[in-house]
Amino acid sequence: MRWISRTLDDTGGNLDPYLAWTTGPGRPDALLPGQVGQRTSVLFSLNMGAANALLGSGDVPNETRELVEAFIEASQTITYGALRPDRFHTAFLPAAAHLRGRDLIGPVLPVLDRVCFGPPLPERCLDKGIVATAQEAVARVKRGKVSPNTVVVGVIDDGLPFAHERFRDRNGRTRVEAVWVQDGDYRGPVDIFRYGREITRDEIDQALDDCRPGGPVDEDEVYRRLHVADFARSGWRSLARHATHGAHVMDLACGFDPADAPDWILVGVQLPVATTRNTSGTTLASYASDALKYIRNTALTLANGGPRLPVVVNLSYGLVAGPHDGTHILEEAIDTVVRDYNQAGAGLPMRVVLPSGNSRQGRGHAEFQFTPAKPEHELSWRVHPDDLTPSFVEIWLPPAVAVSRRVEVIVVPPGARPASPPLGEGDAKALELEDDGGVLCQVTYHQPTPGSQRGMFLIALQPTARIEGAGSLTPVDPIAPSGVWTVRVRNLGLTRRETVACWVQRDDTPFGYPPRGRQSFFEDRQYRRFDEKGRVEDGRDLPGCPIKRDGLMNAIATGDEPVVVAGFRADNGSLLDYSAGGPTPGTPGASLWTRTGPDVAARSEDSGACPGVFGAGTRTGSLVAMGGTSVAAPRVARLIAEFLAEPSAHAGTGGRPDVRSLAAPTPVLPPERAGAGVIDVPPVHRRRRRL
Amino acid sequence: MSQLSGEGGFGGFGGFGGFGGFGGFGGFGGFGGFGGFGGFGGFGGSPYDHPLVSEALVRTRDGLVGTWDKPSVPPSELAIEDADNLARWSAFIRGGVIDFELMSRIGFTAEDPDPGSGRPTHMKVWHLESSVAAKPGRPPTASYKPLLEIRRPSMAVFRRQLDFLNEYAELRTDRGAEILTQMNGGFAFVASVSNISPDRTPFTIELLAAAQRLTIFVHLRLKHALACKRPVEHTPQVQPVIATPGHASFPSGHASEAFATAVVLWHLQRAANPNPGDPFIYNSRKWRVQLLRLAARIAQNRTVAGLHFPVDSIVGMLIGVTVGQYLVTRFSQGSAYRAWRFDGSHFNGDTDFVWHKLYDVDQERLVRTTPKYSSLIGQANIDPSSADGILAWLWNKARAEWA
Repeated sequence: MRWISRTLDDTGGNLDPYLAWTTGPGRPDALLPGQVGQRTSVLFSLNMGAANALLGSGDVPNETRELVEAFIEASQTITYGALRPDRFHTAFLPAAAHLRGRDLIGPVLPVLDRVCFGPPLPERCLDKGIVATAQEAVARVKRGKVSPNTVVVGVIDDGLPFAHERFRDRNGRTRVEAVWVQDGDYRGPVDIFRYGREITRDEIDQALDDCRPGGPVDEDEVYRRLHVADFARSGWRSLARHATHGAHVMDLACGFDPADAPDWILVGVQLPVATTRNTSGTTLASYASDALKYIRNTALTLANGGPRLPVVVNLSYGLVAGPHDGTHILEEAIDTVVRDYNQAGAGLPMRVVLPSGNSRQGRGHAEFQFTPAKPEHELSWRVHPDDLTPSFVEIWLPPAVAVSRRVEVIVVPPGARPASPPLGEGDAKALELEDDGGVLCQVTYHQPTPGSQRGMFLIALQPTARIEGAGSLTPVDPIAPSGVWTVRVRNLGLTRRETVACWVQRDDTPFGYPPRGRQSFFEDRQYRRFDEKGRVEDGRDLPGCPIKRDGLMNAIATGDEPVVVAGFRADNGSLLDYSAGGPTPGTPGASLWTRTGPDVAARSEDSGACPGVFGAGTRTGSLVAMGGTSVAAPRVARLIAEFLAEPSAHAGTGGRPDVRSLAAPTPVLPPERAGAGVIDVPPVHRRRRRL
Repeated sequence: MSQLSGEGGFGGFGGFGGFGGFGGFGGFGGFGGFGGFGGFGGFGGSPYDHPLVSEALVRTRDGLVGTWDKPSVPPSELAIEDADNLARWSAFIRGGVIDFELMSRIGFTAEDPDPGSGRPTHMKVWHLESSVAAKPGRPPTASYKPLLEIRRPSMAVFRRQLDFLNEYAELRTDRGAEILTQMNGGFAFVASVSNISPDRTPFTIELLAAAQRLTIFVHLRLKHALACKRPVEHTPQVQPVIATPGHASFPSGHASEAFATAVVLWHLQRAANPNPGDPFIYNSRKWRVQLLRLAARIAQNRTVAGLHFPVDSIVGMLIGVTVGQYLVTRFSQGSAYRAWRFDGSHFNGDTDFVWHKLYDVDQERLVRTTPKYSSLIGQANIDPSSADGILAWLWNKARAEWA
C-alpha cells in the first residue's frame, strides 16, 4: 500500500471538483449498476464568445468540436417572451464519454463558465443525442384556467401523488397542470426538455375518470396505468408505498379539501432519486435546475403572453458539504432563474423555498484557526463499515485574491497504513492511496470557483463494503478500510483570524429507500453529544472543539433568492436540535456573504411526544406524521402562495424581506439559526392532533 | 367434558390447524383468538373438568337421589334429519356436518394426457349433484358438473414472472406488518371491513369458516396435482421474509381463500335486505369492491413477501371467486353457478396480478381475458330441490346477523 502522486492537467475553478474522482478511482460508483445503456447529465454554463472563438481557431480535434457544438446547441434553446436566455443548460453525455473525464472535457473547459456532472439516467428515459433541450417551441396545451388569484405552485420532490384528492378541485378535476417524471420513459419532448415523461392535466383527469372500479378512484390503478407505480416495469416506485416525502411535502405546500381549494395551479417534478440513489460524488443539480425551469416555463405558457403569473416553488432537498457562500452551481442556477423571471416584463414574482437542513447534530462540520502555537490541526473522520457508497470531505479555505501555498493537507488512513505526503493549496495533482492495483483514497485541490475566492481540498474515499462487482459475484473494485481517517491541516501562511471550514458530504439514505450509504462524521473528545441530563446537547459550540453544530446549513440554501426555512417545535417554541443553520463561513460584512442563516423557522414537529406534523400519505384519506425542515419549508411556501394570490391584501409579495417581516422575533432564538424568528402557519389539515 | 372446553377454541377446527400449518386453517385459530367461544368455555370448561367437581357431584347425587322412579312422560322426540336440530349441536359438531355436505359433493379429475409423457395436463374440479332415487332402496343417482378447470403455466412463464418478485420486494418494509399478521389468512382484515365478531356474528363466522375450509381443500388438491415450485426454488435471491409454506406455489391459497371469503361475505350481507329491491346498506358496489380490494391486497402481500408469483394470485382469484359464488348458490339454495377455466398455455408471463382486470364489478362476474387464459366453461344448473336444509339453516342464521 502506497501513496502515489498523479498530475492533473487542469484544476480550473469552473470544473466540477468531483470529476477527478468520478471519472477516476470513483468510476465503479459513478454509473448506475447493471444498466447497459445510460448517459450522464452535465449542467454547464457556456461562454458563447469563447466557444465560437475556439471553433473558429481551426486546429480543433473533431471530438472537441462536436462537444462544443453540442453545448452551443443546448444553450440555444427557445426562450419564452421577455425572458433573458438561460445561463445554465443540461446535456447528456454517453457514459463512456463521461468516464473519459478530463481527456474529453479538458479541451472544452476554457469555454465553460461552470460545469458539473450529475448522476446518469438510463437510455429509456432519454431522447437520442447529447443535447437535452429543444431548439424549437414545443407545442404545449395548457388547460389550467387562469384567474386573477392564480398562483403557480411548483413542487420538486420524490413520489408526488398527483391523483390524491387533496390536489383535486370541488368538481373532482385535478388541480395539477402537469407532472414531469424526470426518470420516466421518454415519449417525446417535455416542454423544452428531451428526457423523462410528462403527465398532463388531461391524462390525470382521464385516469381519474377511467380508474373507478366500484366508484371511488382506485389510485393504485391510476399510478399503475401512468407507469409511476407499475410492477411490470423496472424502476423504483415510491408511489406504491403508503407514504412518500413528496406526498407529505406537496400536501403541506398546496393540498386542500376539494371544497376549499383555491385557484392555484400545481406543477410537480419528480426527481430521478430512484435511479440515482446508488451513485455518489454527484448532485442532483442538473435535474433540480431543469425542474425549476420547467415550472417557470409552464407558468409562462399559462400566462400566454400576459403578465407573469406568480410562482412559488418548494424544493425540500439538501446537501451538507459545499462552499456555503452561494456559489454552489445549483445555488447560482436557482438565483439566476428566479432573478431573470422577476425581471422579465410586468407581472408577479417567482419565489423558491428551501429547508435549512437537518444535519445540525451530524458532526459533519469542523472549523479552526491557526496560531503560532498551534500550526497544525488534526481531524478524526470516522467512516462506518458496511458503507456501500463513497464518502467525501471538503476542506474550504478562506478567501484569497491569488492562490498561494497557505496550507497543506495530509491524510492518514486507519491502522498501520502510510500517511500521505502533503498536498498544498494550488497543487495541480491528485494524491492517491494505492493498494493491490486499486485506489482507496484520493486527495485533490480545487481552484476557487468563479465569483468565489475560496479554494477547496476534496478527500474522496471508496465504499467500505461492496456486494459484488461488474460481471462478478464477488467485489472486484477497491474497498476502503473503515475506521478513523485522520486529516492533518498544516498552516503555512494563514493569519490567526482566517478560518478553515470542513464539511463531510451527505451520504445517508433517502426516505423510504433501502440503506446504501452510511453517514460518516468527525470525532473529537471535546465534542459533547449529550448534556448532563442525558438530552441531546444543543447549546453553544465549545470554542476549543473544532467540531461545530453551527454552520451545517443546507449547502444548496445559501444563495441570495431562496427563502430558507428552519424547523421549530410547536409545543414549546424551541428550535429543533437537528435544525441546521449558519453562520456561513468567511469574512462577515464582505459583499460575498449575503446570508448568515435561514430566514424564518416554521413548524417541523408538533411536540416531543408527537413527532413530525400531519400531512398526506400517498393515498386519499391517509395521514402520516413526518418531521424535519423538509416539512417546515412547504408551510412557508403555502404562506407565500397565499400572499401572491392576493398581493393587494398583504404587505409585499413573499420575498425574503416580506417573509421575514411576518416572523415573530424572539430574543432566545439565535438569528443564524431561526432568521427573523418563528412563523406558525396554521395547520393544513382539519384533523387536529392531540398534543 | 374436555370436548366442551375444546369448543372454547372453536376450537376443534384449531385442531385441524395441526393439519394445517398452511395458512388457511391456522386462520381458524384466529376465531379462537376472538375468545368469544372461549367465553363459552368459561361457562363450562374448567369447573366440569375439575376432579373436585366430579366428586362433589357424586356426593350431591348420593344426598339427593332417593328411590329410583321411572318417569311417566318421555321427553319430546326430535325429528329425523331435521336441519333445525343443528341449533342443538355445538359449533364444532355443526362444522363437521356442514363440511361433509360441502366436501362430499366435490370431485377432482386429472385430464388430457400429454401425448409424450402420458401425464395429465390439467385438473378439473367437479360439483357432484346427487338426488334420492325414485325407487326406495336403490342407490341415489349422481352426476358430476364442472366447477373449475386449471391448466398450469409453463416453466418459461414462471421464469418471466420471477422479475415481479424482485420488483415487489421493494415494498417489504412498507408491508411488513401486513405480511406477518396475514400469515394465517388475514381474517382480522375482513372483520375490519365488515363488522364481524364472535359475539355479534357467530353464525357468519361459522359460515365463512366453512367456506374457507372448502376453498382450502380445493386449492390444496390443485396445488398437489399441479405441483409448481415456489419462487425460492427458482433463485437464491428471492429471500422471502417469512418461511415458504410446505406446499406448491400455484395457485395461491391466500388469494383463493381471501376472494372466496369476500364473495361469500358480501352476498350474505346483501341477502339480509328485509325488502329485496329496496335500497340497502350492503347492496352497494362500494362494499363489494372494498372487500375485493382487500382480498387483492392480501394476495399481493404474498408476492411482496417472496412466496408467490403474480400468476398464482391470478388463478387463486379465479378459484376464490368461482368457489365463492358456487358456495353462495349452494348455501342459498340457488339453481345455477358459473364454471370457470384458467388456461396457463395462454398466459403471458409479463402479466401482473391486477384484480379488476379479471373481474367486472358492475356485472359481478369474472371476465374472459385476452389472451384467453381466463374464460367461462359454462353455466351449471343445480336442481334446487336437491339442496339440503343443513346449508340453508346456517345461511339463514348468518344472514339474520346482517339485518
